[in-house]
Amino acid sequence: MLGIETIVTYIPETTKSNYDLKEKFELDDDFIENKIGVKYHAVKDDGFKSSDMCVKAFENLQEIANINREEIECCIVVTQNPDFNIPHTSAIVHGKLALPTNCAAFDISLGCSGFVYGLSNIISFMKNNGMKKGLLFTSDQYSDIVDKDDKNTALLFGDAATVTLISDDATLFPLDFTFGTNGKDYEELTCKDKLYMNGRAVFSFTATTAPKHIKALLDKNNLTDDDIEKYYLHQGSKYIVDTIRKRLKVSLVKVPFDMAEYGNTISSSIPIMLAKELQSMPSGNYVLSAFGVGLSWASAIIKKQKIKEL
Amino acid sequence: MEVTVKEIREVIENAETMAEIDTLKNDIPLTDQEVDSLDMANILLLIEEKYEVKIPDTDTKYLQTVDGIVAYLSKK
Repeated sequence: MLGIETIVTYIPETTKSNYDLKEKFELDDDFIENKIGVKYHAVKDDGFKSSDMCVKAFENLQEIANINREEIECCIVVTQNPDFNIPHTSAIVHGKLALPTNCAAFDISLGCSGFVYGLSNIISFMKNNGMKKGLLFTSDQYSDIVDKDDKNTALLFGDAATVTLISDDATLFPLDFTFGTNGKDYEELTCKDKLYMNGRAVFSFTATTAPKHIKALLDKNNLTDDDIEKYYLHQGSKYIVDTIRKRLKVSLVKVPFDMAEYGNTISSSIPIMLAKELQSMPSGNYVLSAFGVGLSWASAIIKKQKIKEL
Repeated sequence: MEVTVKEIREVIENAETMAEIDTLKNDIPLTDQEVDSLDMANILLLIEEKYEVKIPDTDTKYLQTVDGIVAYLSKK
């Protein structure tokens, strides 16, 4: 049965401090730490592209897992900051990693909801085509597109990539997915030249949509909060994570917050948290929920289980 | 629509801002009383939900004080 075998991340070591922006944006420490929730944001090296960050994530994967590249049959990259318009970044990653020519490679253009969409896509695609091993990358470098004078976005985003190894030797298995889109409001979060975000509109969308979406997914699967070990929410900001948690009426310990040292990493935010906790997670059900550019949202229930228990 | 100062102060309290609700002035901008931009977005959302109104971004300038919020909603 296909599922997540492991997840590995690449977060650039270079960071920029939001404390250095206190005067420029008239901020206090409380706002940085308890509202935005980002003390430092990770910034890639100049000239580094999305594919370069994917390669770094893969190199980190090789350090912990014995990867035979000849066995990789599928390579998907979730990004909205591709290296070029043409070709797809996954082809560039495929080339840089010297993956076999019988390996399928394609991109998924999604932002914050991208990992959940990508997880559903790669497992369905691999299952329908009899594949056994695949790589799901997430990679975005917002440092290239953020307007450094825009308070709404300059404090928030960090660069990162992740790689999720999908195989039949897995411990995390998706049980159900659900998705949504509100394309009428796409202009609230766009990048035509530099990144633009209507903070109020995105906050209202997320605060009203995400809790209902998660609750509907639980109801559909006859689950309650008691059946869920943790909720891994997209790390939009501390304020939005706290708001969703309060509206869901779930306890603080069930909703990890983990962006203070590197920022909002778009589609990488959920896999970064999963990568940190994958080994220590007890068996049980977990919710993933992400929301953002599109406006797009996606949630999933995944189960941590040793394969022999299935 | 009939809206009272007490109701709006309750909404602000429910938004769990840093503002001291007991000493909050009705005629001074909330952002001058420990309410930040994220709190304001939350307060406006709570008002939209409570009173089932849509507040366009262009109208937010009328909703900077408790009195302003009451006046705005009273015209709805």
